[in-house]
Amino acid sequence: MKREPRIRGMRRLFRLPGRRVQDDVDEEIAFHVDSRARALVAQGWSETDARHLAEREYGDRVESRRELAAVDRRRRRREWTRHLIDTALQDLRYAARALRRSPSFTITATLTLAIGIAASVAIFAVVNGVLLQPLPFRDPARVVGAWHDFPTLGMTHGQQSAATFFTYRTQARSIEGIALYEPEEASVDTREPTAAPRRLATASVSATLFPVLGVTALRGRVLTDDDDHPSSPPVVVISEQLWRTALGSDPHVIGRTLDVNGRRRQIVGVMPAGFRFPSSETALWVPLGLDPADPPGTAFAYNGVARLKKGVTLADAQRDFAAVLPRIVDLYPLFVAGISTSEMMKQVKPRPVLTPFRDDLTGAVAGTLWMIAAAAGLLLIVACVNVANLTLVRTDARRRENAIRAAIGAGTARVIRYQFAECITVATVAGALGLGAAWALIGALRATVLHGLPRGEEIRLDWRALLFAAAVVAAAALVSTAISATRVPGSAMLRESARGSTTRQHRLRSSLVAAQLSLGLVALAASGFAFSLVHRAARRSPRFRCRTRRDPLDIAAARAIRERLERRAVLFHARRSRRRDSRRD
Amino acid sequence: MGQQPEELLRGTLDALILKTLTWGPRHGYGIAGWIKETSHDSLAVEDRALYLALHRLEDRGLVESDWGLSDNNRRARFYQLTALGRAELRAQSKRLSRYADGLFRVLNATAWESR
Repeated sequence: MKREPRIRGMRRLFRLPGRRVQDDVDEEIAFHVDSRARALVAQGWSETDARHLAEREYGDRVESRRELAAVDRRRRRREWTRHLIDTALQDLRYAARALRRSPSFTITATLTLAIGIAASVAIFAVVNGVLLQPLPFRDPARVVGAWHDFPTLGMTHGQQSAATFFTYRTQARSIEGIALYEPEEASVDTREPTAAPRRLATASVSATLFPVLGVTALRGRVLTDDDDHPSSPPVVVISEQLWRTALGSDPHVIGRTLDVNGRRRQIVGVMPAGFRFPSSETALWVPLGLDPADPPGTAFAYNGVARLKKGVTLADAQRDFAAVLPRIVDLYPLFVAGISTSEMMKQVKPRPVLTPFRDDLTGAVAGTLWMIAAAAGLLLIVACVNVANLTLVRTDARRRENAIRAAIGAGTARVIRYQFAECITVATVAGALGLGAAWALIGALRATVLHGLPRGEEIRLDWRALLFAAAVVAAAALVSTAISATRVPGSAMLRESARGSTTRQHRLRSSLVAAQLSLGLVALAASGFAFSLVHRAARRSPRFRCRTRRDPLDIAAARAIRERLERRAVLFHARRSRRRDSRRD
Repeated sequence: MGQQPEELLRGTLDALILKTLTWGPRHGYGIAGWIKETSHDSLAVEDRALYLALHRLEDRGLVESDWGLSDNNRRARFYQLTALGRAELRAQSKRLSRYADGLFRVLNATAWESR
């Protein structure tokens, strides 16, 4: 028996399984039937009869070619997988041995990458928890912030007044409800014998807040409209945390009383632990108790939030708000104490603006967070360059060998495969280290800079963060390999004897990497510092939002005064110059 | 001849194929012919079943195949025993002989022996 030479290597490996298998099977069956027919002809059968008999003897050929191909395909797939695993294991063993031979480089690269991974995983957890996860409200896409712009005053994100709130509440058809909330701080006395009064983050809210956000109480009930009048009996809804820590999870908490800023209030409900609004530290909610007939002295002083009706877009609702706002003049003629609504409309010309609610909650920190994320990404890239550098040391050391391989046309893929094996080994170890570091880092950050961050309680190392870490490890390995692959020598390298220059290049490259790494770390540290400054500033301000808090009416008044002064000044100058002229005459 | 060839018992075809291959690599047609000849046409092996058995044996790693040239210079798929296949053949032969032995002893029993 003669054999065809086997086709080894790539072509055998990359033989397309589907088509080739079927062809082989068909050829095998055809060979059998032909051979049998020929044998029958030799026994004296006619050509056609022989063929018929041979085919009948074989059996159902259509079914046969299908079942044989199925068996072969399964086998091919299994062999292919086994081959892949074998090669991968072999490469990994080789890579591990090679990495052990240059420990200093390996440790540097691994630690660099671990730092990069730790930083990016930690910042991912923060960004994911704060900016990406859906808000913990029912159907959060329909919850929007309700604001006012004052184009004539050059002010944006002005807030709501009692009169605007009641106008939208009764007139706007595009919303299911609208609510006011105002973060505050209050002295809270649980009146337990051992506890002293404490200053806690609280919120004054309209009773509509709870249905607008779509949240219900854990125990007791949320605030209702009956609680929300100036003459309503004083009540309070407390957070699960306050109930647990200050009231010892008292099962009979409903009906007990608390002193809030010296006013005794009856506890009517406990909110679930997940409800932390407007800040993660808000301990209790008291009704605003606004009276449209007797508005408070400050205008545009409350944050507004509304729930859109199903199918209504932000733009639709904004048009609706703009359309109903003019009715405010007739509905609520007194805007704030001392100023009529028509006067207000003339002076400040408010324009309703609706915004995605996430922006209201986290808009202040979003930019900084993304900046830190970018810095962490930069650090990661630098780390990848470092890992690539590590593999290049060995690629360069094997330069002649590789060049010979490349010259005979077989080596480049193999070299890149080894580089990838080294990169993925380093990246995996770094990933494990980095995850541990990220876990510790998040714990530390939560206790310090992230403390009180809007939605800060949602920051943790969950499966998404793990998935992200795995993706980062894979990406880091691929990027490092890609970087080092660009330096795989081709056959041209065989001619140049590059031996002398390589060491110098190494030193140059490693110092470059060190410089890049420190730059990356500095960038990360700087942005982290910037973040903690911004965040601390935002926390220190008694208000929730750190945007403009000036009363548009004051601004309008100030502007009017300034304009009058300017007119006076012009007149004054004109008079003086006239006087000077007349004196000269 | 003149008699209908007997249907094969389950599991015996594999053993027959493995046995055929102990004399060296063969293509499917060769195997079919050898079984027919050696058993004097008393064993009916449908060709389709033979090929399915061959491919399954290859799938189990008991035989391996490669393309070669037949006696009349056509491309043909040759099958060859693997070490695993040799071991399987030994095990199967032992099993089948024991089975046949038992069968014959019962069928050829001449007296009721009670123990």
